[in-house]
Amino acid sequence: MLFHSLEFLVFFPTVVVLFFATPHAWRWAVLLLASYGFYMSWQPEYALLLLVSTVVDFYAAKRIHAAETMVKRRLWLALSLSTNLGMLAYYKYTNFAFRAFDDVSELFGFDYDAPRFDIILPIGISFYTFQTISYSLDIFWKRRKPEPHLGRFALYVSFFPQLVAGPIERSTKLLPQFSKVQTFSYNRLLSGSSLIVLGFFKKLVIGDRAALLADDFYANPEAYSGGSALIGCVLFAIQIYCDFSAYSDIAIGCAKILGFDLMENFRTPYFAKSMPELWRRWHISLSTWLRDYLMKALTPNDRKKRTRLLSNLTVTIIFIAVGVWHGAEWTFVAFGFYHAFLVVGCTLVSPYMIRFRKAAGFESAPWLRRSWAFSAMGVTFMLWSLGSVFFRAQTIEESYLIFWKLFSWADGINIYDSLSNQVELVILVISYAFLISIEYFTRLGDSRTWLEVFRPIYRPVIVAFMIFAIHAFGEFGAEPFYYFQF
Amino acid sequence: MRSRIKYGVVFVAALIFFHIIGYALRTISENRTLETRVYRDKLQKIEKGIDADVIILGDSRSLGISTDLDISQQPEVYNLSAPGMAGTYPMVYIYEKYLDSNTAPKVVVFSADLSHFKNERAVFKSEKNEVSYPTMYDLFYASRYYSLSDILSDHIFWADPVLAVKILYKKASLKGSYIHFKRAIPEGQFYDDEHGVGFFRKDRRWEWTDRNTEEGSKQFAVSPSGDKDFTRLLESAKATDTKVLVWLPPLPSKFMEVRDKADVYTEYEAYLSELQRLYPGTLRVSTEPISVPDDWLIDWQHYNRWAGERVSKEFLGPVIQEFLNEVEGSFN
Repeated sequence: MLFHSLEFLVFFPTVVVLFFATPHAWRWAVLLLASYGFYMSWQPEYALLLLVSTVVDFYAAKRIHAAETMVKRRLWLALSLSTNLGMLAYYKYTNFAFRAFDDVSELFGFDYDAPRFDIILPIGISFYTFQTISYSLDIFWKRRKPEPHLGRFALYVSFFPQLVAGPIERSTKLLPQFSKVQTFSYNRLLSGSSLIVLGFFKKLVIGDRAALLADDFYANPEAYSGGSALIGCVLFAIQIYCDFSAYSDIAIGCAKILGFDLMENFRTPYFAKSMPELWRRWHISLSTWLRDYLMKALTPNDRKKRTRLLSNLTVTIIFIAVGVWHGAEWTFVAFGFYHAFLVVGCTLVSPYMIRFRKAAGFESAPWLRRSWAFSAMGVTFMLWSLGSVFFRAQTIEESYLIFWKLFSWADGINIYDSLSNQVELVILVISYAFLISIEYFTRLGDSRTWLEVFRPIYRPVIVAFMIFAIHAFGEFGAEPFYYFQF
Repeated sequence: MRSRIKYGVVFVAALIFFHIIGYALRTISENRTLETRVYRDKLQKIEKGIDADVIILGDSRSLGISTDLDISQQPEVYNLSAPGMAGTYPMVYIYEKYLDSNTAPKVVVFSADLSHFKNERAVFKSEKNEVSYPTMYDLFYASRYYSLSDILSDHIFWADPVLAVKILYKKASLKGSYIHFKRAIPEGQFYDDEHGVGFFRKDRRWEWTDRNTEEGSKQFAVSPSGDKDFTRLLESAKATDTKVLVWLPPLPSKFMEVRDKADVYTEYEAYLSELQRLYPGTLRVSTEPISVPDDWLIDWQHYNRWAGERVSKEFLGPVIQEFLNEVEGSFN
C-alpha cells in the first residue's frame, strides 16, 4: 500500500479514528494490526520475517539484560545480530556474493559459473533489521532496559508509517512513546498534515516529474549528448531527494497525527556547503545509526589509539557500508568509495580552505562570504549529482559511459529537444524553485516543523498552493517510492 | 477558536483562488492533445453516422493514412485508427461501436502487426487497467491527458452514476494530472475530423522489446484473447458480407532492421494463413513488410501528411483493389 494510493486514503483516517476511539491499553493492538495489514498488502508471507525478527530480539534482549557474565551477554547478542544480519544477508546479498565470486574468479582466469537464486527482497528489510539491531545493541551497551511488553515491542519493529523506508528509529526514543497516553490534538493534526502535504508535493509534483526525464536518460544513456547527461544526473539527484525525503515527511506527518514524534531524516541537504555537512543532513537516521553503532564498534576505546589514519579508515568503511546498505551491486560499492574519498578529502583539505578563504579576503565582506558559501553549495550539489550516477546506473560500465559522456561533452540526443520534455522541465524548474524557497526559510530550523517559520497568515496560503500544485501538476500513477527497493 | 476560523477561511479562499487561476490558464491555453481529441471526436462522429465503404482500424501509426485510396470505385473511407489501440480488443471494440450506429462497411482494413495480438485489452497500457475491458467512458477518459475538470464538465459523465464512480476511480488510479494545461499539441500534429486522419507525434524513442524477456515473450505471440477478439470480428464480418484485410502498413527502416532479426513471425504467419483458410472470401492477409525512409515520418514512427497520402495511394489502395477483384466484390 503506497502513501499516495486510494487505499491509503481510506486506510490512514480509519486507523486514526480507531486509534483514538480505543482505550489506551489496547491502542498498541490497533496500531500493530494496522501495521501488519499495511505490510502484508505487499507480500503477506514476508510478515513472518518481521515476526521472527521481533520475537528473537525481544527474548534475546531480555537474556542479554539478565545475563550475569559477559560471555553470555555476547552469545545472546550474537543470536540477535546473526538473525537480523543473516536475514538481510540472505535476502539482499546472496546473489551479489555469488556474482562477486564469479567476477573475482574470472579475474584469476577461472571460468566458474556460480548459481543464481530467485530471491525477492522483502520490502523494508534494510530498515527494520537496523532498527531491531539498534535495540539489541542498546540493551547490550546498557543504554536502556528491555521492553517488557511484547506487543509494544512488536509495534516498535513494525510501526507502519516508517516501516518500509524509515526513518530508522531508536528504541530509546520511540518505544517510550507507545506507553504514553496520546490525546488527539488539533495542532498536531495541522502540523502532521502540513508535512504530509509537503511530502506529496515533493513526491508527485517534483520527484515523479524528474523521474519521467531521468528514467528516459538512464534507459538509454549512450544516445544522449554530454549536456543532456549532465541534466540527467542533476534530475536524478532532484528525484532521489524529493522522493526519499517525501516518504520521510509523510511518515513523520502520519506519526505526528497519531501522537508520535519520529526523528528528523533530512535537513535541507542541498544547502550543505561541503560533503561532510551534506551527509549530516541527508538520511540522518541512517548516518547517525552508523555513527552510534558501527563507528562505536570500530573505534578503539583508548583515545591514544585513535589516529587520523584510523579515523579516515573508519570513515571509509562506514561509507562502503552506506553504499552496500543501499544495494547489492558493485555500483553501490563505488558509490560508497566515491563518498568516502570526498568526505575524507574534504576533512583533510578543510583547514587549508579556511586559511585560503581568509587570505583571499572572502571573509572581509558579507557579500563575499555569501558568494563563497553559494559557490560551495553549488560545488557540493554537483559533486553529489555526479555521485548519483553510481547510485542509478545499472552497472559500473554504464557509470563509466555516463562519465565519459559528461566529460567528453559528446554529441547525441538532447533531452530538451522534445516539446513535452521542455514543458515538463519548465514545470519542474518552477516547482523545484518553490521548494528551494521554502527550504531556504526553513534551513536553520527543524524540517519537521517547517511551516512554523512562516507568519501564521501565510501558512494556509502556502499549504493551499501546494495542494493546488499537487492537484494540477501531480504525476499520479502510483509510482513506488525509490527507497522501497532497498 | 476565532483565529482557527480566520485561517480556515484564508485556506479555503486561497485554495479556490489558485484553482480559479489554474482553470483560467488552462482554458486560455491549447490544452487538448491530439490524442484526447481523437477518441472523443471519433466516437461522437460514429454516433452521428458515417456509413463508410472502407474502415481502417489501427493505432497511432495508422492514424496518418489518408482516406484517398485513389482506386477506380472511389469508395467512402473513414479512418477509425486511434492512438494507444495497443491490442485487438480496443480495435474490435471501436468497430463494434461503429456497427451500433452505422451500416456494415464493405471492407475493414485491420492495420496491425503481431504485437497487436498480444494479451492486451486496454486502450492504454497501465498496470491498473491492463486486464479490464474498455467501455465508451474508457475511450473518452482513460487517457492521462484528460483531467478531472474535463470529465466533470461533460454531460455524458453525469448520465450514468455507476459508471461515473468507476471513471472517477479509474482516473484516480491512472497516471496524469487532474487539471491539465501543460501539454500543447506538438508542432506538426494535425487532426482531420471529417476523415478521421491525424498526424500524431509522440517524440518517443524507438523501443524494441526482446522476445527472450518475459515482456517480450508476451508481446510477440498470438494470445488467446487476441485470437478471440479477432475471430469475433471475422464472424461479424462474415455475417454482414464485409471483407477483412489484415494489412501491415509500411514500417520505418529502424523497425525493419529489428523485425528482420527477430524471427518471431513464423507462428504469426501460420496463424493468419489458417484463419484465411477458415474464412475464405472474408479474410485477406497482406503482411509483407515494406520499409519507408525516415523522411516519411513525423517522429520516430508516425507518418507525416505527405507520407500518409503516399501510403494510401501506393500501398493500401492497390491491395484493396486486388482483394475486391479476387472475391468479385465491389463498392456499388
